[in-house]
Amino acid sequence: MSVLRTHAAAAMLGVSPNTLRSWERRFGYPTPRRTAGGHRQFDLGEVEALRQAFEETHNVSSAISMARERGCGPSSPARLRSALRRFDEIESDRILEESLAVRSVERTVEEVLLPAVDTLDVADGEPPTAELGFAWRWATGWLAAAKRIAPAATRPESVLIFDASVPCDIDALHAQALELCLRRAGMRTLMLTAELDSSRLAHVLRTLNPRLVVLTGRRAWLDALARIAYQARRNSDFVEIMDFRGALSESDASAVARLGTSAVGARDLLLARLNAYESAARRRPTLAQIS
Amino acid sequence: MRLRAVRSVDYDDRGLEVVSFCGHCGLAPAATAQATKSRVCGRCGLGLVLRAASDVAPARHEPFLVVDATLSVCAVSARAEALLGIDETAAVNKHVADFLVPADANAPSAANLLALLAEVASGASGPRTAVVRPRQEFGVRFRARVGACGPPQAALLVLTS
Repeated sequence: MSVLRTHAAAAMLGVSPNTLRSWERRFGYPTPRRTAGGHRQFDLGEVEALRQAFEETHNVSSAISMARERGCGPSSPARLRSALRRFDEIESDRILEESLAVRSVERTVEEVLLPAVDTLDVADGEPPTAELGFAWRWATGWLAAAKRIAPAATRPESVLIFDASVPCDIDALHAQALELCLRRAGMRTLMLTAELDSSRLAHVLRTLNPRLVVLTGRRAWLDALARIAYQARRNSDFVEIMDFRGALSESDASAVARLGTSAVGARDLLLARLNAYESAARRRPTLAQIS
Repeated sequence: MRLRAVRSVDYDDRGLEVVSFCGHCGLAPAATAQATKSRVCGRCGLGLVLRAASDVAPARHEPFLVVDATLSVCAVSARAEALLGIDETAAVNKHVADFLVPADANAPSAANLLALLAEVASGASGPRTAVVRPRQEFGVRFRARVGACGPPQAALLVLTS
């Protein structure tokens, strides 16, 4: 999500920062979000839409009305956040539909859906707000629907994701986004809770024989994650354990590869890793060739 | 000397005098570096700078409205807000007939004012005058100057007396 500080947004519109703040009070637009320090951050899409509207109308209020109606061209996290804050499910769906007209599913998730819900997140230890609860459930439903219509797997390898988050955790949405990205890349994926008991875990590992195991979410005890890693390695010599979004702290996991915090970035890393294994396996001589 | 009273005069393609004014406060744009970068009025921050022929453009004290070719209100000056008792934010994109109707005894129908505004807004007609009244008010009449303004092209309706 591209954001601008007050001075940059004001400069882009050719007005003073005070004028921009007065529009926020009078018209409620553009709507900045606040940083932890209380500074305004304006959405670039809204500022750009307003600047464009100034060229096409006669007054600031009609320009703002025009920018609002047009919805700033491509959907923005600010518009989605505003719809989610109003508990407006239909508008939220429409914003993502609009986004899908100009962005891929992956970019829509990464550039619109996740940043919008991220801004509604609360501090650790605080109970979720009603807005976050609504946004989280709506986003979960949307991601699940997108997963259902993802094409069938085209690759033989499977990826097992262990999610240690709880409802209303932003990490849970990122984990679902990763699963969606992997499915759309043709991989077989399964997401399970990290709190699975040992016998069921062993059964899943034997059945799926995953090539990659991804640990995500920050709510699991270290021994639960260690148990998953141990059982996965005991099940197969070729399995690789990876961390997405800091399930393991840096000091705990020197042998675990990091996938970063972006679902698309993680997908690219996983694909690169799988492709590297595949080409290495092709180069490896078979028993028949050796004899 | 009060600089806000000074209005820069320019000439259009036809050699007519045109002046710039804010679509909300009606004043000439401030001569600052910022004013050259943006159409937003540096004085009130609520209007965009428009241009109109000098004989049509509003004087400081004159209330005015800007109406586009679809007869939707695009701008209401601060004085017109006070005079007509309307709020610009609520008035924009509404039909001009929601606020003003003809009050000319010689005008055969209300369509005349609307036709005049549409013609001026589309550039098909030069400056004209009309007599109008607020929609829900009787016994109050205003003489109005109607001429083209922009950009983008629209009709400027200045209430004079």
